[in-house]
Amino acid sequence: MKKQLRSGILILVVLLSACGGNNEKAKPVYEEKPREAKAVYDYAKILSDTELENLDSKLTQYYEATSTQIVVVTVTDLLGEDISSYAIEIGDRWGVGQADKDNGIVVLIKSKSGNEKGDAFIATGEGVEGVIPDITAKEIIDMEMIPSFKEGNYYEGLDKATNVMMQLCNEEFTPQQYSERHEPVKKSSSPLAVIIPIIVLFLIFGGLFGRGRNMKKGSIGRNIPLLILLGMMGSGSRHGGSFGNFSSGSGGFGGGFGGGSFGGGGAGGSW
Amino acid sequence: MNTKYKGLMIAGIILGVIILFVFIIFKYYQNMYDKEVRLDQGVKKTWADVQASYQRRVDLIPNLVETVKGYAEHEQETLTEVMNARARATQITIDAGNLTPEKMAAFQQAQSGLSSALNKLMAVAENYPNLKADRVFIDMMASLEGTENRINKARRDYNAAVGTYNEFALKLMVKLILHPDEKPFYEAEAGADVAPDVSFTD
Repeated sequence: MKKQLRSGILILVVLLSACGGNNEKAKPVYEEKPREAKAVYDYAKILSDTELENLDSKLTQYYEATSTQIVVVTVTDLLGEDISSYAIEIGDRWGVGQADKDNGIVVLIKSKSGNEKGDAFIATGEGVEGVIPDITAKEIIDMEMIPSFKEGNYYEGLDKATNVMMQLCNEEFTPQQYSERHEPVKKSSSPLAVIIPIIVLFLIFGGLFGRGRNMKKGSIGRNIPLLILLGMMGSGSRHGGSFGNFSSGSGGFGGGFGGGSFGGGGAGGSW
Repeated sequence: MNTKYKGLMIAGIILGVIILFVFIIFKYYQNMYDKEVRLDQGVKKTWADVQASYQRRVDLIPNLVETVKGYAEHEQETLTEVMNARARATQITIDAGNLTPEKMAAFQQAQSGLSSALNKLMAVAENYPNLKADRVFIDMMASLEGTENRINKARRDYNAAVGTYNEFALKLMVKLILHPDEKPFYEAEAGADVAPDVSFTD
Protein backbone atom coordinates (compact mmCIF):
# COMPACT_ATOMS: atom_id res chain seq x y z
CA MET A 1 0.00 0.00 0.00
CA LYS A 2 2.69 2.40 1.04
CA LYS A 3 4.83 1.30 -1.82
CA GLN A 4 2.00 1.99 -4.23
CA LEU A 5 1.53 5.39 -2.74
CA ARG A 6 5.19 6.18 -3.09
CA SER A 7 5.37 5.09 -6.69
CA GLY A 8 2.17 7.01 -7.32
CA ILE A 9 3.76 10.15 -5.96
CA LEU A 10 6.85 9.49 -8.00
CA ILE A 11 4.81 9.21 -11.17
CA LEU A 12 2.98 12.39 -10.26
CA VAL A 13 6.22 14.26 -9.73
CA VAL A 14 7.60 13.03 -13.02
CA LEU A 15 4.40 14.00 -14.81
CA LEU A 16 4.36 17.42 -13.20
CA SER A 17 7.95 18.12 -14.08
CA ALA A 18 7.29 16.93 -17.62
CA CYS A 19 4.39 19.38 -17.83
CA GLY A 20 6.52 22.11 -16.33
CA GLY A 21 9.11 21.60 -19.03
CA ASN A 22 6.89 22.83 -21.83
CA ASN A 23 4.33 24.67 -19.83
CA GLU A 24 3.88 27.30 -22.48
CA LYS A 25 2.99 24.82 -25.16
CA ALA A 26 0.57 22.89 -23.03
CA LYS A 27 -2.11 25.56 -23.28
CA PRO A 28 -4.75 25.32 -25.98
CA VAL A 29 -4.44 28.21 -28.36
CA TYR A 30 -8.03 29.33 -27.88
CA GLU A 31 -7.32 30.36 -24.31
CA GLU A 32 -5.43 33.37 -25.42
CA LYS A 33 -6.99 35.62 -27.97
CA PRO A 34 -4.26 36.77 -30.35
CA ARG A 35 -3.50 40.45 -30.14
CA GLU A 36 -3.59 40.82 -33.89
CA ALA A 37 -6.62 39.45 -35.71
CA LYS A 38 -5.60 37.82 -38.95
CA ALA A 39 -6.72 35.02 -41.22
CA VAL A 40 -4.03 32.37 -40.81
CA TYR A 41 -2.38 31.14 -37.62
CA ASP A 42 0.09 28.49 -38.68
CA TYR A 43 1.19 27.30 -35.26
CA ALA A 44 2.10 23.90 -36.70
CA LYS A 45 4.34 25.55 -39.32
CA ILE A 46 2.99 23.47 -42.16
CA LEU A 47 2.82 26.29 -44.69
CA SER A 48 5.71 28.00 -46.41
CA ASP A 49 5.99 31.77 -46.14
CA THR A 50 4.60 32.31 -49.62
CA GLU A 51 1.76 29.89 -49.08
CA LEU A 52 0.87 31.53 -45.82
CA GLU A 53 0.92 34.95 -47.41
CA ASN A 54 -1.22 33.85 -50.35
CA LEU A 55 -3.82 32.25 -48.15
CA ASP A 56 -3.79 35.12 -45.72
CA SER A 57 -4.19 37.81 -48.35
CA LYS A 58 -6.95 35.88 -50.10
CA LEU A 59 -8.94 35.52 -46.88
CA THR A 60 -8.21 39.07 -45.77
CA GLN A 61 -9.49 40.43 -49.05
CA TYR A 62 -12.53 38.26 -48.79
CA TYR A 63 -13.13 39.66 -45.32
CA GLU A 64 -12.75 43.21 -46.56
CA ALA A 65 -15.28 42.56 -49.31
CA THR A 66 -17.87 40.65 -47.30
CA SER A 67 -17.05 41.02 -43.56
CA THR A 68 -17.07 37.22 -43.36
CA GLN A 69 -14.07 36.05 -41.36
CA ILE A 70 -12.55 32.74 -42.37
CA VAL A 71 -9.74 31.85 -39.99
CA VAL A 72 -7.32 28.99 -40.56
CA VAL A 73 -5.55 27.62 -37.51
CA THR A 74 -3.02 24.80 -37.56
CA VAL A 75 -1.71 23.04 -34.47
CA THR A 76 0.49 20.04 -33.80
CA ASP A 77 -1.35 18.86 -30.73
CA LEU A 78 -4.94 19.04 -29.55
CA LEU A 79 -3.88 18.30 -25.97
CA GLY A 80 -6.28 15.43 -25.75
CA GLU A 81 -9.27 17.54 -26.67
CA ASP A 82 -11.87 16.75 -29.24
CA ILE A 83 -11.09 18.64 -32.44
CA SER A 84 -14.67 19.85 -32.78
CA SER A 85 -14.79 21.51 -29.39
CA TYR A 86 -11.26 22.85 -29.89
CA ALA A 87 -12.29 24.55 -33.12
CA ILE A 88 -15.58 25.83 -31.75
CA GLU A 89 -13.82 27.24 -28.70
CA ILE A 90 -11.43 29.12 -30.97
CA GLY A 91 -14.34 30.62 -32.85
CA ASP A 92 -16.32 31.46 -29.75
CA ARG A 93 -13.57 32.79 -27.55
CA TRP A 94 -11.78 34.78 -30.19
CA GLY A 95 -15.10 35.97 -31.56
CA VAL A 96 -14.53 35.10 -35.21
CA GLY A 97 -17.10 36.75 -37.46
CA GLN A 98 -19.28 39.79 -36.88
CA ALA A 99 -21.41 39.88 -33.76
CA ASP A 100 -24.57 40.82 -35.62
CA LYS A 101 -24.09 38.28 -38.42
CA ASP A 102 -22.16 35.49 -36.73
CA ASN A 103 -20.42 35.05 -40.05
CA GLY A 104 -17.24 33.40 -38.90
CA ILE A 105 -15.62 30.15 -39.98
CA VAL A 106 -12.76 28.41 -38.23
CA VAL A 107 -10.75 25.83 -40.14
CA LEU A 108 -8.65 23.87 -37.69
CA ILE A 109 -5.95 21.46 -38.81
CA LYS A 110 -4.05 19.15 -36.55
CA SER A 111 -1.08 18.16 -38.65
CA LYS A 112 -0.21 14.55 -39.19
CA SER A 113 2.97 13.45 -37.50
CA GLY A 114 4.45 10.00 -37.45
CA ASN A 115 1.82 7.43 -36.59
CA GLU A 116 -0.64 9.98 -35.35
CA LYS A 117 -3.30 10.73 -37.88
CA GLY A 118 -4.10 14.24 -38.92
CA ASP A 119 -7.42 15.86 -38.09
CA ALA A 120 -9.31 18.62 -39.78
CA PHE A 121 -12.41 20.47 -38.69
CA ILE A 122 -14.52 23.25 -40.15
CA ALA A 123 -16.49 25.11 -37.50
CA THR A 124 -19.23 27.30 -38.90
CA GLY A 125 -20.59 30.35 -37.11
CA GLU A 126 -24.30 30.45 -36.48
CA GLY A 127 -24.85 32.77 -39.43
CA VAL A 128 -23.01 30.48 -41.82
CA GLU A 129 -24.72 27.22 -40.89
CA GLY A 130 -27.36 27.88 -43.53
CA VAL A 131 -25.01 28.27 -46.48
CA ILE A 132 -22.55 25.64 -45.26
CA PRO A 133 -24.56 22.90 -43.50
CA ASP A 134 -22.68 20.24 -41.57
CA ILE A 135 -23.02 17.77 -44.41
CA THR A 136 -21.45 20.22 -46.82
CA ALA A 137 -18.65 20.99 -44.38
CA LYS A 138 -18.00 17.27 -44.22
CA GLU A 139 -17.89 17.10 -48.00
CA ILE A 140 -15.47 19.99 -48.20
CA ILE A 141 -13.19 18.18 -45.77
CA ASP A 142 -13.43 14.87 -47.63
CA MET A 143 -13.27 16.23 -51.16
CA GLU A 144 -11.05 19.30 -51.02
CA MET A 145 -8.83 18.91 -48.02
CA ILE A 146 -8.03 15.31 -47.26
CA PRO A 147 -6.91 14.22 -50.76
CA SER A 148 -4.31 17.01 -50.78
CA PHE A 149 -3.43 16.54 -47.13
CA LYS A 150 -2.73 12.89 -47.77
CA GLU A 151 -0.07 13.96 -50.20
CA GLY A 152 1.31 16.33 -47.63
CA ASN A 153 0.13 19.37 -49.57
CA TYR A 154 -1.60 21.37 -46.89
CA TYR A 155 -1.71 24.56 -48.89
CA GLU A 156 -3.54 23.06 -51.83
CA GLY A 157 -6.18 21.52 -49.61
CA LEU A 158 -6.71 24.70 -47.64
CA ASP A 159 -6.76 26.82 -50.76
CA LYS A 160 -9.36 24.66 -52.47
CA ALA A 161 -11.48 24.31 -49.35
CA THR A 162 -11.51 28.03 -48.63
CA ASN A 163 -12.41 28.74 -52.25
CA VAL A 164 -15.44 26.48 -51.98
CA MET A 165 -16.44 28.04 -48.68
CA MET A 166 -16.22 31.53 -50.11
CA GLN A 167 -18.28 30.51 -53.10
CA LEU A 168 -20.88 28.92 -50.84
CA CYS A 169 -21.00 32.05 -48.68
CA ASN A 170 -21.43 34.15 -51.81
CA GLU A 171 -24.20 31.78 -52.81
CA GLU A 172 -22.52 31.23 -56.15
CA PHE A 173 -23.83 27.71 -55.82
CA THR A 174 -25.97 25.94 -53.25
CA PRO A 175 -24.80 23.14 -50.97
CA GLN A 176 -26.91 20.77 -53.07
CA GLN A 177 -25.19 21.82 -56.26
CA TYR A 178 -21.83 21.42 -54.61
CA SER A 179 -22.81 18.03 -53.34
CA GLU A 180 -24.11 16.88 -56.70
CA ARG A 181 -20.86 17.83 -58.28
CA HIS A 182 -19.09 15.33 -56.10
CA GLU A 183 -21.72 12.64 -56.01
CA PRO A 184 -20.04 10.50 -58.69
CA VAL A 185 -16.70 10.67 -56.96
CA LYS A 186 -18.12 9.09 -53.86
CA LYS A 187 -19.67 6.14 -55.64
CA SER A 188 -16.65 5.48 -57.76
CA SER A 189 -17.35 1.76 -57.79
CA SER A 190 -20.52 2.00 -59.84
CA PRO A 191 -20.46 2.29 -63.66
CA LEU A 192 -22.73 5.29 -63.34
CA ALA A 193 -19.75 7.09 -61.89
CA VAL A 194 -18.33 7.44 -65.35
CA ILE A 195 -21.52 8.26 -67.18
CA ILE A 196 -23.06 10.80 -64.84
CA PRO A 197 -20.20 13.31 -64.84
CA ILE A 198 -20.13 13.24 -68.60
CA ILE A 199 -23.83 13.94 -68.75
CA VAL A 200 -23.50 16.65 -66.13
CA LEU A 201 -20.65 18.25 -68.04
CA PHE A 202 -22.63 18.14 -71.25
CA LEU A 203 -25.57 19.75 -69.53
CA ILE A 204 -23.48 22.47 -67.96
CA PHE A 205 -21.48 23.28 -71.03
CA GLY A 206 -24.51 22.95 -73.24
CA GLY A 207 -26.36 25.30 -70.95
CA LEU A 208 -23.52 27.77 -70.88
CA PHE A 209 -23.01 27.92 -74.59
CA GLY A 210 -26.70 28.02 -75.17
CA ARG A 211 -26.96 30.97 -72.86
CA GLY A 212 -23.97 32.57 -74.50
CA ARG A 213 -25.70 32.45 -77.85
CA ASN A 214 -28.82 34.04 -76.50
CA MET A 215 -27.06 36.77 -74.64
CA LYS A 216 -24.35 38.22 -76.78
CA LYS A 217 -23.59 40.87 -74.19
CA GLY A 218 -22.48 38.19 -71.76
CA SER A 219 -20.10 39.91 -69.40
CA ILE A 220 -17.47 38.32 -67.22
CA GLY A 221 -20.10 37.94 -64.56
CA ARG A 222 -22.02 35.55 -66.75
CA ASN A 223 -18.97 33.41 -67.17
CA ILE A 224 -18.32 33.07 -63.49
CA PRO A 225 -19.89 29.60 -63.25
CA LEU A 226 -17.67 28.47 -66.08
CA LEU A 227 -14.62 29.99 -64.43
CA ILE A 228 -15.46 28.28 -61.17
CA LEU A 229 -15.93 25.02 -62.97
CA LEU A 230 -12.63 25.33 -64.72
CA GLY A 231 -11.03 26.24 -61.43
CA MET A 232 -12.47 23.16 -59.82
CA MET A 233 -11.37 20.85 -62.61
CA GLY A 234 -8.06 22.20 -63.70
CA SER A 235 -5.33 21.43 -61.26
CA GLY A 236 -3.07 23.59 -63.38
CA SER A 237 -4.65 26.91 -62.54
CA ARG A 238 -4.12 27.44 -58.88
CA HIS A 239 -6.22 30.50 -58.34
CA GLY A 240 -9.56 28.92 -59.04
CA GLY A 241 -11.38 31.42 -56.88
CA SER A 242 -12.00 34.97 -57.83
CA PHE A 243 -9.95 36.32 -54.96
CA GLY A 244 -6.37 36.60 -53.96
CA ASN A 245 -4.81 37.71 -57.21
CA PHE A 246 -3.74 41.14 -56.11
CA SER A 247 -1.93 41.30 -52.83
CA SER A 248 -2.49 44.25 -50.57
CA GLY A 249 0.00 43.14 -47.98
CA SER A 250 -1.25 41.32 -44.93
CA GLY A 251 -2.70 43.88 -42.62
CA GLY A 252 -4.82 41.31 -40.85
CA PHE A 253 -8.51 41.76 -40.20
CA GLY A 254 -9.00 45.50 -39.83
CA GLY A 255 -11.30 46.01 -36.90
CA GLY A 256 -10.24 42.74 -35.32
CA PHE A 257 -12.44 39.76 -34.64
CA GLY A 258 -16.02 40.88 -34.50
CA GLY A 259 -17.40 38.81 -31.64
CA GLY A 260 -19.32 36.27 -33.70
CA SER A 261 -20.62 33.22 -31.90
CA PHE A 262 -20.62 29.53 -32.73
CA GLY A 263 -23.41 27.11 -31.96
CA GLY A 264 -21.54 23.91 -32.70
CA GLY A 265 -22.04 23.76 -36.45
CA GLY A 266 -19.47 22.17 -38.73
CA ALA A 267 -17.85 18.85 -39.41
CA GLY A 268 -14.50 17.17 -39.32
CA GLY A 269 -12.49 14.33 -40.73
CA SER A 270 -9.14 12.69 -40.39
CA TRP A 271 -6.54 11.10 -42.60
CA MET B 1 -36.42 79.96 18.79
CA ASN B 2 -32.82 79.04 18.40
CA THR B 3 -33.23 75.61 19.98
CA LYS B 4 -36.33 74.93 17.92
CA TYR B 5 -34.42 75.76 14.76
CA LYS B 6 -31.58 73.53 15.85
CA GLY B 7 -33.95 70.67 16.61
CA LEU B 8 -35.56 71.01 13.23
CA MET B 9 -32.19 70.93 11.56
CA ILE B 10 -31.15 67.80 13.40
CA ALA B 11 -34.43 66.12 12.57
CA GLY B 12 -33.95 67.10 8.96
CA ILE B 13 -30.46 65.68 8.86
CA ILE B 14 -31.58 62.45 10.49
CA LEU B 15 -34.47 62.15 8.07
CA GLY B 16 -32.12 62.84 5.19
CA VAL B 17 -29.69 60.21 6.37
CA ILE B 18 -32.49 57.71 6.79
CA ILE B 19 -33.84 58.42 3.32
CA LEU B 20 -30.36 58.13 1.87
CA PHE B 21 -29.81 54.92 3.77
CA VAL B 22 -33.09 53.43 2.60
CA PHE B 23 -32.31 54.51 -0.92
CA ILE B 24 -28.87 52.88 -0.79
CA ILE B 25 -30.35 49.68 0.59
CA PHE B 26 -33.02 49.73 -2.08
CA LYS B 27 -30.42 50.24 -4.80
CA TYR B 28 -28.29 47.48 -3.36
CA TYR B 29 -31.26 45.14 -3.31
CA GLN B 30 -32.32 46.18 -6.78
CA ASN B 31 -28.85 45.52 -8.20
CA MET B 32 -28.72 42.16 -6.57
CA TYR B 33 -32.19 41.25 -7.72
CA ASP B 34 -31.56 42.37 -11.27
CA LYS B 35 -28.33 40.45 -11.41
CA GLU B 36 -30.08 37.34 -10.18
CA VAL B 37 -32.71 37.73 -12.88
CA ARG B 38 -30.07 38.24 -15.55
CA LEU B 39 -28.00 35.23 -14.53
CA ASP B 40 -31.12 33.14 -14.14
CA GLN B 41 -32.18 34.07 -17.65
CA GLY B 42 -28.74 33.04 -18.86
CA VAL B 43 -29.17 29.63 -17.29
CA LYS B 44 -32.68 29.26 -18.72
CA LYS B 45 -31.64 30.25 -22.20
CA THR B 46 -28.65 27.95 -22.28
CA TRP B 47 -30.77 25.13 -20.87
CA ALA B 48 -33.25 25.65 -23.67
CA ASP B 49 -30.36 25.25 -26.09
CA VAL B 50 -29.30 22.03 -24.41
CA GLN B 51 -32.78 20.59 -24.71
CA ALA B 52 -33.16 21.79 -28.27
CA SER B 53 -29.92 20.15 -29.33
CA TYR B 54 -30.90 16.88 -27.66
CA GLN B 55 -34.28 17.16 -29.36
CA ARG B 56 -32.47 17.53 -32.64
CA ARG B 57 -30.75 14.24 -32.01
CA VAL B 58 -33.98 12.54 -31.07
CA ASP B 59 -35.52 13.77 -34.31
CA LEU B 60 -32.74 12.24 -36.38
CA ILE B 61 -33.14 8.78 -34.97
CA PRO B 62 -36.24 7.39 -36.74
CA ASN B 63 -34.68 8.05 -40.14
CA LEU B 64 -31.37 6.65 -39.02
CA VAL B 65 -32.99 3.47 -37.73
CA GLU B 66 -35.00 3.16 -40.93
CA THR B 67 -31.86 3.42 -43.04
CA VAL B 68 -29.93 0.92 -40.97
CA LYS B 69 -32.87 -1.46 -41.07
CA GLY B 70 -32.65 -1.54 -44.85
CA TYR B 71 -29.17 -3.06 -44.68
CA ALA B 72 -29.03 -4.76 -41.34
CA GLU B 73 -32.39 -6.31 -40.60
CA HIS B 74 -30.78 -9.00 -38.49
CA GLU B 75 -29.85 -6.39 -35.95
CA GLN B 76 -33.41 -6.03 -34.76
CA GLU B 77 -32.39 -6.14 -31.13
CA THR B 78 -30.01 -3.19 -31.37
CA LEU B 79 -32.52 -1.23 -33.40
CA THR B 80 -35.30 -1.85 -30.89
CA GLU B 81 -32.97 -0.81 -28.12
CA VAL B 82 -32.28 2.48 -29.85
CA MET B 83 -35.98 3.14 -30.37
CA ASN B 84 -36.73 2.34 -26.73
CA ALA B 85 -33.95 4.57 -25.53
CA ARG B 86 -35.27 7.26 -27.80
CA ALA B 87 -38.75 6.89 -26.37
CA ARG B 88 -37.39 7.22 -22.84
CA ALA B 89 -35.37 10.28 -23.82
CA THR B 90 -38.41 11.98 -25.35
CA GLN B 91 -40.44 11.50 -22.21
CA ILE B 92 -38.19 13.60 -20.02
CA THR B 93 -38.03 17.30 -20.58
CA ILE B 94 -37.34 19.85 -17.91
CA ASP B 95 -38.99 23.22 -17.68
CA ALA B 96 -36.16 25.74 -17.53
CA GLY B 97 -37.72 27.38 -14.47
CA ASN B 98 -37.71 24.14 -12.57
CA LEU B 99 -34.20 22.77 -12.83
CA THR B 100 -33.69 20.49 -9.87
CA PRO B 101 -30.78 18.11 -9.40
CA GLU B 102 -33.18 15.14 -9.40
CA LYS B 103 -34.79 16.08 -12.70
CA MET B 104 -31.41 16.84 -14.15
CA ALA B 105 -30.14 13.42 -13.13
CA ALA B 106 -33.15 11.75 -14.76
CA PHE B 107 -32.67 13.76 -17.93
CA GLN B 108 -28.98 12.92 -18.06
CA GLN B 109 -29.65 9.27 -17.50
CA ALA B 110 -32.19 9.08 -20.30
CA GLN B 111 -29.92 10.92 -22.71
CA SER B 112 -26.84 8.91 -21.90
CA GLY B 113 -28.93 5.77 -22.32
CA LEU B 114 -29.68 6.95 -25.81
CA SER B 115 -26.02 7.78 -26.39
CA SER B 116 -24.87 4.31 -25.51
CA ALA B 117 -27.65 2.69 -27.57
CA LEU B 118 -26.47 4.81 -30.50
CA ASN B 119 -22.89 3.80 -29.85
CA LYS B 120 -23.92 0.20 -30.09
CA LEU B 121 -25.72 0.87 -33.33
CA MET B 122 -22.62 2.53 -34.74
CA ALA B 123 -20.54 -0.47 -33.77
CA VAL B 124 -23.02 -2.73 -35.53
CA ALA B 125 -22.99 -0.55 -38.62
CA GLU B 126 -19.27 -1.15 -38.91
CA ASN B 127 -20.08 -4.68 -40.03
CA TYR B 128 -22.12 -3.60 -43.03
CA PRO B 129 -19.94 -2.14 -45.76
CA ASN B 130 -22.93 -1.47 -48.00
CA LEU B 131 -24.60 0.51 -45.26
CA LYS B 132 -21.46 2.50 -44.66
CA ALA B 133 -21.28 3.33 -48.35
CA ASP B 134 -24.91 4.44 -48.54
CA ARG B 135 -25.13 8.12 -49.33
CA VAL B 136 -28.13 8.65 -47.06
CA PHE B 137 -26.31 6.95 -44.22
CA ILE B 138 -23.17 9.01 -44.77
CA ASP B 139 -25.18 12.22 -44.69
CA MET B 140 -26.98 11.05 -41.61
CA MET B 141 -23.71 10.38 -39.87
CA ALA B 142 -22.60 13.91 -40.67
CA SER B 143 -25.86 15.25 -39.23
CA LEU B 144 -25.52 13.10 -36.16
CA GLU B 145 -21.96 14.19 -35.65
CA GLY B 146 -23.00 17.81 -36.05
CA THR B 147 -25.75 17.29 -33.53
CA GLU B 148 -23.37 15.78 -31.04
CA ASN B 149 -21.11 18.79 -31.49
CA ARG B 150 -24.04 21.09 -30.85
CA ILE B 151 -24.99 19.13 -27.77
CA ASN B 152 -21.46 19.44 -26.43
CA LYS B 153 -21.37 23.13 -27.17
CA ALA B 154 -24.78 23.72 -25.59
CA ARG B 155 -23.74 21.79 -22.51
CA ARG B 156 -20.52 23.75 -22.15
CA ASP B 157 -22.46 27.01 -22.43
CA TYR B 158 -25.04 25.80 -19.93
CA ASN B 159 -22.43 24.75 -17.43
CA ALA B 160 -20.66 28.08 -17.81
CA ALA B 161 -23.94 29.90 -17.12
CA VAL B 162 -24.63 27.67 -14.10
CA GLY B 163 -21.11 28.28 -12.83
CA THR B 164 -21.60 32.04 -12.94
CA TYR B 165 -25.05 31.76 -11.37
CA ASN B 166 -23.91 29.53 -8.53
CA GLU B 167 -20.93 31.68 -7.75
CA PHE B 168 -23.33 34.58 -7.35
CA ALA B 169 -25.90 32.56 -5.44
CA LEU B 170 -23.34 31.43 -2.89
CA LYS B 171 -22.31 34.93 -1.88
CA LEU B 172 -23.21 35.62 1.73
CA MET B 173 -25.46 38.61 1.23
CA VAL B 174 -27.20 37.07 -1.75
CA LYS B 175 -27.75 33.93 0.24
CA LEU B 176 -29.17 35.85 3.19
CA ILE B 177 -31.40 38.15 1.20
CA LEU B 178 -32.55 36.25 -1.90
CA HIS B 179 -31.66 32.72 -0.77
CA PRO B 180 -31.68 31.35 -4.32
CA ASP B 181 -31.21 27.66 -5.05
CA GLU B 182 -28.05 26.56 -6.74
CA LYS B 183 -28.55 25.29 -10.26
CA PRO B 184 -27.49 21.77 -11.19
CA PHE B 185 -24.56 21.30 -13.55
CA TYR B 186 -24.83 19.01 -16.51
CA GLU B 187 -22.13 16.61 -15.57
CA ALA B 188 -20.74 14.22 -18.10
CA GLU B 189 -20.85 10.74 -16.70
CA ALA B 190 -17.56 9.03 -17.25
CA GLY B 191 -17.82 6.68 -20.19
CA ALA B 192 -21.59 6.57 -20.33
CA ASP B 193 -22.10 9.81 -22.10
CA VAL B 194 -19.31 10.11 -24.60
CA ALA B 195 -20.41 11.24 -28.01
CA PRO B 196 -20.70 8.27 -30.33
CA ASP B 197 -17.71 8.02 -32.57
CA VAL B 198 -19.28 8.31 -35.96
CA SER B 199 -16.22 8.70 -38.10
CA PHE B 200 -15.65 5.83 -40.44
CA THR B 201 -12.05 5.93 -41.36
CA ASP B 202 -10.62 2.71 -42.54
